[in-house]
Amino acid sequence: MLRGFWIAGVSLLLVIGAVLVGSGRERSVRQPIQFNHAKHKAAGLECSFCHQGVDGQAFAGLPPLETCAICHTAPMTESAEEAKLATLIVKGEPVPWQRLYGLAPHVFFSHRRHLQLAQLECKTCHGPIEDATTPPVRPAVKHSMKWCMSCHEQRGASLDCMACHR
Amino acid sequence: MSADKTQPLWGMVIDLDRCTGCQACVVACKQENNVPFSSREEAAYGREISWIRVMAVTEGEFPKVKIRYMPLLCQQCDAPPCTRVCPTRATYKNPQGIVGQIYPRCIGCRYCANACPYQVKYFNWYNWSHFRWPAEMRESLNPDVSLRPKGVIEKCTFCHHRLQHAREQAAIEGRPVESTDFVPACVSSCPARAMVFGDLRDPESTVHKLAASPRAFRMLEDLGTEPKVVYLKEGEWNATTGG
Amino acid sequence: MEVSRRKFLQLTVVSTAGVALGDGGTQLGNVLQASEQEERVPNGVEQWLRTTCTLCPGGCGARVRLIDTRAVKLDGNPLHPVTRGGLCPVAEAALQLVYSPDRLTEPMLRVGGRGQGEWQPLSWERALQILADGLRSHRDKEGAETLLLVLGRSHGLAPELLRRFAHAYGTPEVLELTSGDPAADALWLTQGIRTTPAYDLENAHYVLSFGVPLVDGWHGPVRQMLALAEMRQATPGHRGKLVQLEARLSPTAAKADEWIPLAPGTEGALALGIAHVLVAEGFYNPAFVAERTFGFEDSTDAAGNRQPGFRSMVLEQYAPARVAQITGVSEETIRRLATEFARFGPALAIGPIGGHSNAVESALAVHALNALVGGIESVGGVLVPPVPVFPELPPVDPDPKAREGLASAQRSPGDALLPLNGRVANLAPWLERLSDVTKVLLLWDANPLFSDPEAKRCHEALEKIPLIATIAPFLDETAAFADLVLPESTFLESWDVLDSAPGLPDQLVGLTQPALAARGQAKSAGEIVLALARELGGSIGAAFPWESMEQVVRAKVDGLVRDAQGGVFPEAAAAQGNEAAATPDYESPDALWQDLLNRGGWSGRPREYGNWRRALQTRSGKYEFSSQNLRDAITAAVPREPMRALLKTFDADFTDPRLLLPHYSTPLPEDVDGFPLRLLLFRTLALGAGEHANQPFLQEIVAPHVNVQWDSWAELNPVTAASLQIADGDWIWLESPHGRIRVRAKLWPGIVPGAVALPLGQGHTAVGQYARGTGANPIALLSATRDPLSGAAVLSARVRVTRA
Repeated sequence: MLRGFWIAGVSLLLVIGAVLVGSGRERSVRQPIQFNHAKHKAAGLECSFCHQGVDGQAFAGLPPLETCAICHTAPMTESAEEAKLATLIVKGEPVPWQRLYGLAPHVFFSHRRHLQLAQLECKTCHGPIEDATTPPVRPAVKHSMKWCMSCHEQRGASLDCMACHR
Repeated sequence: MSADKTQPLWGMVIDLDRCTGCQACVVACKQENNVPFSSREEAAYGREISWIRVMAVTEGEFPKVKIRYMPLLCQQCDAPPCTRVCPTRATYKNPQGIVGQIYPRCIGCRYCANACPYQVKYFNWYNWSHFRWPAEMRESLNPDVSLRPKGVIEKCTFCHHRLQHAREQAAIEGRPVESTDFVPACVSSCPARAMVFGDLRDPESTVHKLAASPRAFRMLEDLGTEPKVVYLKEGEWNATTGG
Repeated sequence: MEVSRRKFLQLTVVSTAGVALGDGGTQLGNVLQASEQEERVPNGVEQWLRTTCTLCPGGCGARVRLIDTRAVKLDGNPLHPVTRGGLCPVAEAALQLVYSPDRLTEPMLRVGGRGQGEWQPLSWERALQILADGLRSHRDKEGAETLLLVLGRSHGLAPELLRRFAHAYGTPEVLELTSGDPAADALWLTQGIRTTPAYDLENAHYVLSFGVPLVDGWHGPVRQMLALAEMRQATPGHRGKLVQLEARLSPTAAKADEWIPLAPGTEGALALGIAHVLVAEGFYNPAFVAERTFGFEDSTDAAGNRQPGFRSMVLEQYAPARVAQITGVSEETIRRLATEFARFGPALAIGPIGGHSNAVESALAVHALNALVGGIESVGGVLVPPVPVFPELPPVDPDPKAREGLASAQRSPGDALLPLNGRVANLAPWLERLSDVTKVLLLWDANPLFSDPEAKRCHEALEKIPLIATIAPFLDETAAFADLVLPESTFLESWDVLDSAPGLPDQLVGLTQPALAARGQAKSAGEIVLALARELGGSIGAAFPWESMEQVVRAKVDGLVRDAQGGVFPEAAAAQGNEAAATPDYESPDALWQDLLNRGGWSGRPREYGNWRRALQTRSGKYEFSSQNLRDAITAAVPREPMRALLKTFDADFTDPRLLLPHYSTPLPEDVDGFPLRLLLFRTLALGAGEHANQPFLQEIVAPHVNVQWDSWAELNPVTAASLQIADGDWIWLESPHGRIRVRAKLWPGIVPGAVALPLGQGHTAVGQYARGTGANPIALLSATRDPLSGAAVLSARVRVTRA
């Protein structure tokens, strides 16, 4: 009898532990096109060229198809990945980018505020993504509330709950 | 957290002489703040949520009857009874003097709703955010405001999300936030121009001047809540002077 | 479930391993998280557009907040000189109309029997083909006059375009539904002008309102709310007074400085009682009466007969004692109101808005008060509405077939004495009369099977018409019965342009521009007319040379650049009130167009006073207490037997010259045995006449005074309820000789004893999921009684109440 309880108890703890570990882990993100940030940076593009909302809006945004089409209507390389893009441009279909960085729905974040007022660099929160040659499968920086708050404390930014939760 | 004296002390004045009880404010608020609508049964249970609602109090007996319309919203008390009883600090007063409601912290004990003498804290009895809006209507939701889950309290925030926008704008322009920089949705919509909003501390602001009017009163002031919503009494026509 | 120890261990190990190795754990974790997490509303690029709300003729300026292509909020336009950024609750709830799940998104053709609810979706091409084929074939075979158009609204471009279509096609049969405007009829009878009067509300100091819902409906609610506030507060120490005279404590009565309950339908008597005191005490304006009115004093006609004048008639017949008996208002109050009306001017008397069989007569009596104090064409008085700003569209050139059709009509006024010019208050008698001749019926924004007091009669008439097409945003009760349903877009998806709201004396133009792409395949009524005309071609097509509604709107507004007085809403309009800016020199129509789009509209000539040539267009050139227009109408009607029967409802013999003077006649229906209570129906701001019943936010605000939401309610005075042993909240049967409904009773002191009041607009059986089955439709209780002068249906009945 007692042994039965022991087994059940330990198994239960194992299952709970597995779940907790599992839920803490990030899902890996795969992009439909293996976009090479580094190459585009070398070509002279600023982050805000594609992520157009970043200076003036709360959300940064992903480039609309028209932005890619500025250069890629005709293929610039022999890359199979670029060919995928060309096909979509012809069809007029937006690229189904998968979100890599996403805050919980109860968090409200303004890019404009952090870039224009705090003068932060993109890499502070997104890691050196501009040097990545393939799209990262996991966020380089984990955006936990603790992480956000530590920077806020250091830099004297708002510690008011309502600043980010509405 | 005590209010920061260098910032505007946001307050509202509602002129009951001008208010016609039309409830444009009620609808504007719901649309702005993603407040789900009720069904007949839910409303019959008294579970409909209206961050601002119009009390229509009938006075007198036939034929001397009057209705007093009174828009009732969170009074954004400076000494809020609700924040004192919250076990998780989900509701608290922020440096701008606005009494906030942080949904992820709320555990739904409803102690604050009980403590509020104005009965302006509303509980989400249902998982409305999930099932209430058909897909088509979800398109007109406001991205600046959360969708609340079942089991949390919500209430008027003086459209704090609009204040955040205004503060960001002011900061980028390198100037302090001004009294006229933003208005909550209710104030904006009022067709009778009965609602005024601004900095109660700024002697130049309309709210400051109106708050000193002989018609001004605050609700349940003697409870010591220090509400920041000021009402102006309805006027009376003078039969002798005709004015 | 029996799980052996081995199985259990196996399960645990496998799941743990799965979790440790791969995504299984994260999936499980995500599932656990998701059940707690709310979703996020997607963000996007923010944009604001200015437009004009067209949900009512008020035309409030609006701004739409867009996130990407989604409209998330409607706000007021602070640049609008009249509405100044305010919006009524209906406009605030407009997004629940635009994004309603019940919206029609494609043209539909009936499959199976009428009203059976089986539809086949069509392309626009096919739908227009079907309609055009039907129109063409009937035009050729039976003549163009076999097309009947029913328009549910008068404001915006659509009515003009639909009329234009009718003209080019060749049918004179265009019926424009109106809720009835007794004041317009009174204006025609006394001043010879066929229009809704305008009111200088902002400058009035004393308003006697005979049941006019100033702040909860009527012409332009937002303007009126502001005007009331201004009347009270604009000049400190000089507060204006609003007196509301009606049987029920409406929201306007609640806001008034005084609510004076009076017996239903007795407004005319009260007005005449007040007139009596004004005349008897000499409180009226003798200069105005002498110079600008006709029929005040007795006279002798050509045949040597003595014609009584208003003075002697009102002194003789409407002494306060008699009036007190009729109305229930004390003599003392009558005298006091008259004294105040004369003393504390500028004074304005308005109303009633209709609903009773004597509405036009009451309106005549009320308007007489304005004439007595000289409140016509004066500050704070009744004014002639401004001339429309827009140029007319180029004339139509009808082809021979159309000319034939246009000439063929016998435009009998039907059940109404007064010429109607195609505006009717209810359809049943017209549909019935025209149903034998009509082969194609095109309805726009009209739902007679829900709102007509004789819905059954309408139904029978509709059954005889071979082809019924309706333009509507929802499948309402009438659309459900049609053969072809054409989905209409809302104002947020359309181009339109609005003139001044009814009642507003200033010239104003509101521009409506689309903020969203149309939902599904929906089109605006104007676009449908353009497409239909194009499909038909010939002279009909030629009458519509514009390719889009945007072009039509531009054709209208381009003329503004030539207007000498006025300008696009100035930036500081909110502060300046209604001052029109000087027209800047626009280099091109394009520059003007851009400015209009950016600011929302145009402010033209402000109100003017004393334009007697425009204001008094009777044969005598004066305000007529004794209406010669009425005399002509009665004389023309007398030979017809049905008219004789109708005229018997007047208290006097129809040859009595006093009939031409303002008078009171008992409201119908009179006492009916067994049905002791009088039913009163009213519109609410939230529901209108029922077109907003499918918007949940509006169902929630419908009745704060009796705490009712999502339902109908019957207001009963506690004394009346006690005598019937009805308690608050009881379910009751409300029964008239014509029908019955089940509804909840609400005991409330804001209604005269002996009456029961009910809101219009609930009780839909179609339209959408929020409206269907909500509350009860009181139209079922009404009879076929009409106002003999205007033909408007009587929104009153005799009822009895029993507990359900």
